[in-house]
Amino acid sequence: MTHPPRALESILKGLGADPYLSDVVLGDLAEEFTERAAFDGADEARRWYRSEALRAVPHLLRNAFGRLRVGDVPRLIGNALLAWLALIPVGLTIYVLLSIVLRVLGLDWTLRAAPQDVGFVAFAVLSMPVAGLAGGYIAAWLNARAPLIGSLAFGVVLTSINLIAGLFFPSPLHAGLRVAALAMFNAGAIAGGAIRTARQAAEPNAARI
Amino acid sequence: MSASLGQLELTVLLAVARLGDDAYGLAVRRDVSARTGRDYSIGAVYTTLQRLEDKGLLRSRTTDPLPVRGGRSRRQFKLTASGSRAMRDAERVAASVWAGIPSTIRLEHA
Repeated sequence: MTHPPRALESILKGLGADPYLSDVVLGDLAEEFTERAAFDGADEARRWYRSEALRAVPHLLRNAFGRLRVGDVPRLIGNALLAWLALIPVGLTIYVLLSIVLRVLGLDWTLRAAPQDVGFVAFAVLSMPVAGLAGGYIAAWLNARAPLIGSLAFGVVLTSINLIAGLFFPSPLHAGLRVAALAMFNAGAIAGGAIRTARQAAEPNAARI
Repeated sequence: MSASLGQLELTVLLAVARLGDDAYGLAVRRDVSARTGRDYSIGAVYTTLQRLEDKGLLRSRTTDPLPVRGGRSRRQFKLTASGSRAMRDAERVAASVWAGIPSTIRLEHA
């Protein structure tokens, strides 16, 4: 028997909507998927499922945000900041390893925060999606009941901090590059949350979302 | 006076009335999509069903888990007395709004 894509099912569950709602939505999707797989084939049914799952996301997200209480906000912000702190040792380790490798290779490389420094711009822009991915994963892990809400909150909190900090300490990046970097950071955070959600569902003793 | 209904809300309410004991999300979505010619998402239909239930026009119950749904239950909807009243009100309003429109610009019904 053909099953609906489990990773997508996990992601829809991980949005944090009322379990009652996500259960009936997933049930309807599974029922129609089975019918389509029998008539149109598994590939066509999977294509249909992906598109329908995507269309269900805004409704489930609206429900998830509607369920948030004032008391949840400090917890989400706290988890986002904790995920951010967890990134610092990771970032430092990567920086130190990169420096050692470049030194061993005989390349003189110093990170200078200057908009005209191509190396810096490339490093800043490329590190954003990676930082978003890792931070989104950690934030989702910290927010096991609604992992994707955790990773979205991580993106929003860190973007807000970045924008507020930019008022006092102008960013060395040009405005266009900064917007692109922040967009990639948030996309990375969502991807990190999605990966964590799929992994959480695959764990044998996974907590029910 | 019943609660005012949006177009999708009324369409969904009529679908639930039409489907009777078979009124659950997937069947309602198919009925609504077939009659309106628009492909509504499952999420949109459930959001509307939920809103109608919150307004007291529908009530729902869950069935036993079904293998075809991956072991999940169906949520079946039924019209309440307020729901029936809201449908009649909507029909009366529609009839009143259409009254006096020349037959030359109205659809011909078989």
